Amino acid sequence: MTAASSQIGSADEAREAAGQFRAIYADIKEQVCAMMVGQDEVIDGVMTALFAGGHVLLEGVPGLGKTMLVNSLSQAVGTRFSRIQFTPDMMPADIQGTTVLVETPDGGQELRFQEGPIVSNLVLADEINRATPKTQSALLEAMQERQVTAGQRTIKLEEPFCVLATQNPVEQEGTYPLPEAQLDRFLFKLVVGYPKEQDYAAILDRTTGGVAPVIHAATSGEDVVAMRDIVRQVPVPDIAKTYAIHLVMATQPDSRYAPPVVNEYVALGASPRGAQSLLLAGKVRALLNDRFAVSCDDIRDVALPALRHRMLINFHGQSDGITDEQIVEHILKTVDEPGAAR
Amino acid sequence: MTTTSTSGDSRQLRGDLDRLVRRARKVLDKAYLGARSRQVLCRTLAVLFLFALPMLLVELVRYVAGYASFGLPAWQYAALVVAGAGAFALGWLLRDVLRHVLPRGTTLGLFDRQLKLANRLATADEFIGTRDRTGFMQAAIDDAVEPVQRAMGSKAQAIGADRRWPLSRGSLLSVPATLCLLLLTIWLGGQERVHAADESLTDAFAGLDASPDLNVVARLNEETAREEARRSGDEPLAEKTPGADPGETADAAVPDSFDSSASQPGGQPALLESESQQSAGRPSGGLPSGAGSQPVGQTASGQQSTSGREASTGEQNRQAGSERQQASSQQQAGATESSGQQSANQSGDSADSDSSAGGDQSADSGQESVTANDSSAAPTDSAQNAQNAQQQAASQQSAQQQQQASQSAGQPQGSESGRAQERGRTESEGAGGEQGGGEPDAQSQAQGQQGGQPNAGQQQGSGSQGEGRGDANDAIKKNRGAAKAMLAVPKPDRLIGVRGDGPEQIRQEQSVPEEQQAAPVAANARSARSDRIGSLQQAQVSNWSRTLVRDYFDRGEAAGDNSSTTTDHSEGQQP
Repeated sequence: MTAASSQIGSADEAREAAGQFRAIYADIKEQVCAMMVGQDEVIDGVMTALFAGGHVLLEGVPGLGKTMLVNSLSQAVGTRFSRIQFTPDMMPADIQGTTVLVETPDGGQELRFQEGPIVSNLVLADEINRATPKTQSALLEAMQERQVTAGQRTIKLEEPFCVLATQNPVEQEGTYPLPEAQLDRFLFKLVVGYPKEQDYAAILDRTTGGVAPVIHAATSGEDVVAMRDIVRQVPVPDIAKTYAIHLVMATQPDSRYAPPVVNEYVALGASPRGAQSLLLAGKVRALLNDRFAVSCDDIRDVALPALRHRMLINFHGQSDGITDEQIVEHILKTVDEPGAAR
Repeated sequence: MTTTSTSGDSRQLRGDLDRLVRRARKVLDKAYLGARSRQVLCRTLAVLFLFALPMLLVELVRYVAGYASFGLPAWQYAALVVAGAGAFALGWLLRDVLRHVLPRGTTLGLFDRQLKLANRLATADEFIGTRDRTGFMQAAIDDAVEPVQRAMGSKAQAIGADRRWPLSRGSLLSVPATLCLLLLTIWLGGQERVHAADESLTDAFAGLDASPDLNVVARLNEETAREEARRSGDEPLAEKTPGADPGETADAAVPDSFDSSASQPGGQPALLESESQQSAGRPSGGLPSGAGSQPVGQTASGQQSTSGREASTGEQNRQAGSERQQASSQQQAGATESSGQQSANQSGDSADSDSSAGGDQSADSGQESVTANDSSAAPTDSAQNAQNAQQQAASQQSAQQQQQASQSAGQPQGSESGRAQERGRTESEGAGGEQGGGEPDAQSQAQGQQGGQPNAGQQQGSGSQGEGRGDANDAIKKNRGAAKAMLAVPKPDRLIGVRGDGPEQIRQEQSVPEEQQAAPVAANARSARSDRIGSLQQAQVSNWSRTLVRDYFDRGEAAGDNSSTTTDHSEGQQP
């Protein structure tokens, strides 16, 4: 893995690095799937975000295995894992850490900074929308700057750092919807749906049997960081870059590529972070698809989870029942990739 | 995947990519041209009416200006519109085609899409021109070797080409609008305003030549000249009127009057007078005629009532009216007709009576005209009619001449008294004969004989309506009201709006008390203050009150004279 983490100068090295990436990815997914049944898209999304260096917002009703997925992933990756159960009375110090009075070995006492649960590799922010905006904003710096500032102390977070947040879309009483600034910091927003019929039997067997599945660490945190470097070196041709730009601009009302649906129902479109997310996630998909450059197909594959939470539906759209998914799907149908004979 | 391309392979790959680019560009340009052509055509359809509109404007200007028609056939108009729109669309399309440049990546994207190569060709074509290739770039180029060979053996197809006709609502509505404009242009192009106007004028003149109106006017002029000659000899006008045809004078319309009067020489003066009266009845028309008729009106209202005026005055007035009529008859023929109708409408069937007074009114204002008209509604006295049998005979003649007599109302009928009685009788007969037949005329004659009575002319007019009441005061009363208002008599202005309160000013004035001296009273005159006051009426008090008062004073007496009054009061207030 040391070769993969350095600059790849030849095609053979690139092929080797891509091969290693796919192997590690497959190992991690195999371990996660030992616990999780079905939900392949969600697992791929979480792992793509992990290797792309982003954060994931998981949304789904209770009981679908969101927390278990994150827990399994942390075990499979073999990194530090922490879980934060967000509640309305939680304070930012509960996440970032605070200074506490501790006893020294020589019998004295001193003030020592006790790091919060945010200082970890994989952070599960469970039911993040139940915390107050003040507490939610404590995650902003950690998610974007990869550091935590508490008092006069700034703590650099160790890589890989990934926040996996969950929220329940149905129990909205007593919740605080995430602000746009924080939503924009999530690479993906994955919607966890109900498992398929054929998956129910395996879920019941694994969760109700006497032997609990054991997840082994398929890789380490250093490997994940190396994989992230490989992903970053995947080139993006202009045709894919242009397509990603067109998609992002299509989410912006009154833009050149915006379809009429966007102009009518979208109040705010995606920011350049959306294009960054498309390209980063597209690079992961390109490697997974045995290619060495991002194509428009990769962009299209990750467009829905990368753009759905970056648009703000206006009042008319909400009243008409327009969802983010419908908007993105319409954009994918409307915006042609370069080369279309139009 | 393990092979690495060499520089020779790269050149070969670039050559292959160039060939693919040319093939794809040809297909894409063709597809673009088709799609753009459809788009341009649809947009041109939306503005097609703009090409027909200038032609319509040109034809309209030509038609209004009176120029001759261009003589273009209908198909040439349509051809001009189509040619203009075609040139516009062609220029637009040519500009777009010349500006349209497909990038190589986009061009190769055609094969990527067609062969589902996931942009391998476009990626390789981009990376192959990069000087500092990374390992992934080189790997991507190597990865495109096999797809390039596949693309070389395939035929380029314009996948996803837009073959729709982007017809908008404006495009669809523009076509019928253009057709309408074109049809209007074609129709207008066949119209020549100058020629058509000449033909219509020719027809009109031909009709005028055939119509008897011109002959009537000519005869009218001749008879007017003869009338002038007659009047120069002081020949009474009334002596010439009895021969008028009553049937022709029934209608007060001027053209008919012209015909009837022209057909009979005797009716000519009445005709002239009627015109003078009618023209005088108009407020504006009275300006040219007022100069000549003003003395006549004065005679009718003032001098006439004084009686004893000589007939010469009436004749002068009549002559002045006729002169005025001659001056204004040709200029104000239309206005005369309207005023004649107006006067006829005011009095209803008694249009003649209206005109009879109007003869005098020609000198006066319209208000005076109404006065005379209303005075014509004066009461008809049947007793007087019975006393004047001769006048009845004359009134029968006047009944036949009611129209002429009504037109002759410009003559100062009321002023005829004494020596002008005969002529005044004739004119009054003409005035009264329309409604009341012989009786009103007889009455009017009788009143005319009275001569010296005031408002004789008004009474004559009243006889025309056959009413049994009416004198000078009634006529004056009738001078007010709606009829007066209809002649545009100035009315007092009405205050519109609510008057504001305005600032309230309080001003204090010092009033000096006036000194008053009381009457001195002697001291012994005052009564003694110790006198009896007399009997007082017993107040109606209840027994309880009486007892209370009695007890009060009894206790006061029991307390003795030594007790102060204050104490008594205080004790008295206790209960």
